[in-house]
Amino acid sequence: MGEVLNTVIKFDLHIHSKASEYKESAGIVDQSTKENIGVLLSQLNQHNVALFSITDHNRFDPELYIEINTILAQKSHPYPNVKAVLAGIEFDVRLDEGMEKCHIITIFDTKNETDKLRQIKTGLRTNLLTDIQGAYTRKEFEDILKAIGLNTILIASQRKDIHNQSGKHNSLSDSAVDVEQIIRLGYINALEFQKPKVEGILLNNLKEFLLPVPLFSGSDCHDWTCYPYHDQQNQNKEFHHSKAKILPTFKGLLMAVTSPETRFNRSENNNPSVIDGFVLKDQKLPLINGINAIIGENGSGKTTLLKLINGKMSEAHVKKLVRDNVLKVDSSVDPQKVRYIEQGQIIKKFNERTLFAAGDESNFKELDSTPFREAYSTYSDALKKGIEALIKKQETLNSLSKRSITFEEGMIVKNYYVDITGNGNFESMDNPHESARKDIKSLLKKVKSLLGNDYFKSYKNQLEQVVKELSSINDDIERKWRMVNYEANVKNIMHGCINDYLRKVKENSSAKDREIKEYNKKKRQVIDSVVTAIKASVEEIAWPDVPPILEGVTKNPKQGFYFNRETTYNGISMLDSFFSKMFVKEYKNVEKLQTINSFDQYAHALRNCTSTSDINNKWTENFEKFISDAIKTNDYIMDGADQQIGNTLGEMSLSYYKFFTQDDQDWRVLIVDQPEDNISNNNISQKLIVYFDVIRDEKQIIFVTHNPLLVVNLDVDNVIFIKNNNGDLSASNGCLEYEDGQTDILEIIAQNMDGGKETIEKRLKVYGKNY
Amino acid sequence: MEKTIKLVMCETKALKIFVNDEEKYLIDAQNRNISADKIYEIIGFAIGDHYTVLSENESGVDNQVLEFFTGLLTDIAEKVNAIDVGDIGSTTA
Repeated sequence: MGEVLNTVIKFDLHIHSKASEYKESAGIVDQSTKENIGVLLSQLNQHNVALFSITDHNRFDPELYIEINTILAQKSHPYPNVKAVLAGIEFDVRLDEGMEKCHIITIFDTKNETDKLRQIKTGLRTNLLTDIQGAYTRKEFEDILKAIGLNTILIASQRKDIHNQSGKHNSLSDSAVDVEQIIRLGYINALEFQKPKVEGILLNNLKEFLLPVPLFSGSDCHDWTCYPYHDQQNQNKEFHHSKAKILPTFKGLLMAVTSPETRFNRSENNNPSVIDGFVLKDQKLPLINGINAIIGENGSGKTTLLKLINGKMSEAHVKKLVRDNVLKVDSSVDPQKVRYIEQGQIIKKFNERTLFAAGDESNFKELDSTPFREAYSTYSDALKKGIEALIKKQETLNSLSKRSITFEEGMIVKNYYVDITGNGNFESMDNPHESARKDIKSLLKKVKSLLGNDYFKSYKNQLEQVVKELSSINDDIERKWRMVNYEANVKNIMHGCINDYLRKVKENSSAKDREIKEYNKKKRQVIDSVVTAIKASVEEIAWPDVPPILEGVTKNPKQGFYFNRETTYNGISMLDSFFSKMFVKEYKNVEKLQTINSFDQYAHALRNCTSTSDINNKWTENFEKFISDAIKTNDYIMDGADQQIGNTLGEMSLSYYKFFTQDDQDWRVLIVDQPEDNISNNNISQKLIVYFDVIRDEKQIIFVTHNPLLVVNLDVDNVIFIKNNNGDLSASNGCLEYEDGQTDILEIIAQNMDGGKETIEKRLKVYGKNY
Repeated sequence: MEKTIKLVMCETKALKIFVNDEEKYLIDAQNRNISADKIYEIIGFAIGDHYTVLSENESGVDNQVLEFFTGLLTDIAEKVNAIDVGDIGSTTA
């Protein structure tokens, strides 16, 4: 079983020993000797320092390291919290000519091998400083490192603002003309500070460079009995140890300097409910309380493993693989607290448009477009009435020319019967109060219903007042409506009686009588037509006001997103759309419609209308089409207040992960089969990794992946590599820096993941070494 | 405005129609006919107009004809005078 990242360790890479004696004041390091190493180890153990380095001034004592390694290699030594020592030297270097010197702590990759430790001392002797004020030039420093020939990590001391180049502080800014450049080029891998207030200053400085440079604290302890302080006199009480989630090895430190954001300032994951691991035959493979990536070739059984972990084993081939390899899961997690996104699930939900649905409910709120429909119905109806009134007016005028009267002498003679005219006016008529009566009743009913609604309890008095006012209006309209109805009934009775009378008159009339009657009728028609035309000529046609611009959107804020459903008409005038849907091009506004004076012209103006008999149908049809297009909704998601998420599968997938991982519900474990599907590498690097990183200290994440970015750049805490040899599964695991005689996790990634080698090289590029 | 429609029977039996002393139409002796659109034109209604119809027949010829057309225009004038513009309102309000 490989080692995984499940603890945050303290480290201190700046401790001196007697080897620094040549530069120090008398006696200060006299007791910091190999013989007294137990004093230091005991202090480190007491302060929970797992990884340390003795970095003497331009000196290296391999024997001291050999002693430490011998002690720590013992199965039960008295310093269980102390895990490892890294070989190092604190060099005095003048990086640029004309500048002061600075201190550079150099950590060597010796793998605790004795030969390599002695190799450091040998290399150092090629140019040993003896003058206590002396310093190496940059070239001399590099020559020594070449002579030593080991991989290194360089940590420059910086004890003040990075722009302060006044000298006297042995800081990087005292020694390099262009500090930013030297950091950006990766010449220096980290900066060391000693006082917390300097850490704050440096953090601000480094923000300017937009480069995540790690900041280490170092105790600079000279007298081990005073650890973590310098010595008896010089005690930096504000000192606190650096912490990182790494294995206590050179490679672990290397991982920290190449990805400080994922390794430093990490808290222990306190998620109480995790899947502990699984057993393959007799091999226990841990799943840690952080990020676990399962990798391997296609068909190696990765998905099977996920299904087993999630308890979804209905398929026969899954059952067989589990049975044949005696696979078991060690988990006591409540299944309700596990979120599982299986392969292809996002595509399926995307196609079904249920990606962001919460159970059966959509996150997009329903939208009521009734106000819009009513506004345009009113407008449309009024427009139609206006056009028809125009035509009627014109027809009235036109009809005048068809009527005339000629004086005929014999027609003036009186007859014996009383003639009754105007009986046609008694025919049934519309009640002008009908519509108003209906509206006020509906309004009254609605307001009364609000009185019974708990929400409006505090508005009871006002609502009662409104009911009172509306009731009064209702009573008045009701009275008028009844009056007209009553009149209509009376007129109807009279109409019947007069018809009976006229029929009898007609039966008893002579031919001359009938001729006279017809003549008088004609005369009346002339009179009526003139009066009607005059009335029509002064009749004002009230063209409707433009409908208001209405809001047609619902916004549902949820987990930092806004689920917006927006109609076409939201916040814009739909008048142009209305005219283009209703009428042909030449009649695109009310002014043009006001030129219509015949039904033929009306039919021509109306879109898709070919005959006057079709006007009503086409009007309704066109209007419904307009409404249907205008109330069409577009669902979209805003990430925050101003960033709209695109509708592509990739962008939706990405947002789905953000949405799905950053809610405040009580879930503990996220299991995903190939989260990289459909998402570009750029978005994986820029976004998906961030989403997982944000929750890595609170949730357990287990995913299967073929994408090395999700392993190397996300800096997963545990890599599980699965191999399938004709159904016989084998596995190995460990964090990125883990290596032993059989397993080297970075090597596995490089060899078994497409682009794995390049991704590792890219991460280590900033470190300046080839993998 | 006040408008006076005056029908004058001439000696020649031609019937002249004046509005505020301005001759608007002539019904000649051979064709005692008038169309509705001509009457509409003669009246020339505008909001606020009020009509009075008078007749004149100094030569005393064809009085029956004069009475017929005077009656016709009086009927119309009465109805037009009765139009309440406020009642007409609008067709779509």
